[in-house]
Amino acid sequence: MRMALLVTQREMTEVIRDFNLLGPMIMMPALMGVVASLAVLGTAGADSSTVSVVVGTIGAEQLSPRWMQFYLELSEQQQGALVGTILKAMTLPLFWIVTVALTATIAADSFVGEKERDTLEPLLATPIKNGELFLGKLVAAVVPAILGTWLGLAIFTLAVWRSHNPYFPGFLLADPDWLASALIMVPLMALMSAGVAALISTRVATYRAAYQLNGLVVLPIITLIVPQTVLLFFLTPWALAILASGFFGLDALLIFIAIRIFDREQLLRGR
Amino acid sequence: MIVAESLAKNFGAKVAVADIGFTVPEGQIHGLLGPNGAGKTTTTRILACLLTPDSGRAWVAGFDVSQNPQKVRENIGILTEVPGLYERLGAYEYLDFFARVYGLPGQRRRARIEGLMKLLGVWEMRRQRLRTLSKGLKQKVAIARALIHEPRVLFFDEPTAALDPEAARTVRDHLVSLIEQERSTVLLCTHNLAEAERICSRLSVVQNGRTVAEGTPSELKAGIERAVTLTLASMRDEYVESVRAVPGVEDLATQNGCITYMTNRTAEVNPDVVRALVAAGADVVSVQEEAVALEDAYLHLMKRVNDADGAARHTA
Repeated sequence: MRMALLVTQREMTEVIRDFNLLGPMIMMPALMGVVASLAVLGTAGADSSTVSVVVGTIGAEQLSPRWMQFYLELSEQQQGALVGTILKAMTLPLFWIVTVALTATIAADSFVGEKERDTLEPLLATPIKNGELFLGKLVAAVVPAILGTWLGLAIFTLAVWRSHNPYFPGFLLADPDWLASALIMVPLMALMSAGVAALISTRVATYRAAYQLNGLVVLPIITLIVPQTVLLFFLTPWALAILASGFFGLDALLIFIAIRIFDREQLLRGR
Repeated sequence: MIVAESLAKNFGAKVAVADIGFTVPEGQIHGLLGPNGAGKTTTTRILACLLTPDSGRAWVAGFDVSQNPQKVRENIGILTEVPGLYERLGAYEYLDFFARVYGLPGQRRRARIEGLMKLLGVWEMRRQRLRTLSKGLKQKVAIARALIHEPRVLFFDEPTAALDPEAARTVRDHLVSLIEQERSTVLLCTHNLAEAERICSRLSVVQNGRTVAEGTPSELKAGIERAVTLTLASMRDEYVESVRAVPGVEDLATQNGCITYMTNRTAEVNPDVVRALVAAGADVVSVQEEAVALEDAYLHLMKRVNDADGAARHTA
């Protein structure tokens, strides 16, 4: 593990010193935090009757009569809770997308980038073991992405706190879903994305190919977020527990396979 | 210290190494010469456990590269044509990373980095980011990296190829003094024949993935035809004829009291010529042999190999 930590430390030092990498790490989550904040600030003044009018107007065109009936039969308090859940389901996964995208950016570069910069050969000639090298690179991609996502979440949390939006808790992270998302789902999704991206990075000849291929593979991960939001809507907090367990299992399997098929020779030769 | 036996490696249909073998005793510098694509880098990568051989065996520092790659990696240092540095790190920071990877403990690590950087003249740049250094300085940092853990075996793949002549000379001089100081065993891949002649104790010439010649620089040059000039106190026809009669003497000519002839067996022919002249009554003032560079021997060898390959293809 000591070797893996050394690799992580060295990689992160390089990320911090490269504005081309650090810039998106800060800008992208910050932007997402601001966009989500605007939604919160925009709905802060809307009381339940206003929302009912909006839902009634849009719902008349968009929702099925059954759903409209369901909504209109709820009490004012229940309607407020439902709107809060919908807003949560719309804003919370935004930060997961940020996590997946940020992690992929760094992880796609992890091996093939070194190869392109001619730094891979001296590294592979050292006694670092395959698992240590892979884990070191993985963590180096995951940690900045998590920190970046937390930055976006911090901006959003501040906006929620300042807006006094009735559909969000005063302190966002007091909500178990948001807390579990920040502390469990974000790291698990980062690991998933980093694992896939790093695995691709070991198997292609150029960073460009890694990044493009990664886009194709990351897409299914993002689509996993869609059923997640549905689950969040219906099953909170069990939805998170189920998904977290699923992601944990997938992450473990992915890392295990990646280390097993890690091949120094193929890495050096590329495809 | 390095033993390679009939190594072979293919990349798909392309044969990179077909049959390369040599032995490098401890403390010696062995040169691997050959044109681009001859198999030098692939051989080095096999020995450095970066590639697995398809057939053949090799031992480095006493460990089998196929059976015990981890032990081999602990005992080798590698320097490639391109320095391959993490350019956003500082020079000291970079060496510190590799020293830690090789498990050097704190005090020893710091002393080793400082010692090497001072020796290579890069100590003053220790805090500078590597991307700001010149090519020559970067290569010196890469040399320090290769030596940081005091490896028993070093692999140098074209260490001066990317450098201008002045920087190449500085790096070469440092390399030689460091190797002498560290008493490492070195495999040097190079196109630079003068460099190889100067620093290698033995050489292997490879072409199309095969070892085509091996020996000391003198041994490789021995079979090359060269001019020999004899200066005599006086010149007579019978002296010229006695030289012409010696087997191995070719293209004989006389000019200004000197006899010049060509031979590719100087070690045998020259003493015979001198004996023949003395027997004929001549006073031999001097015997001067044309200096042959390793380059001549190398080009001669390459021509011979290419001609043989061409003939074989024609027959097939």
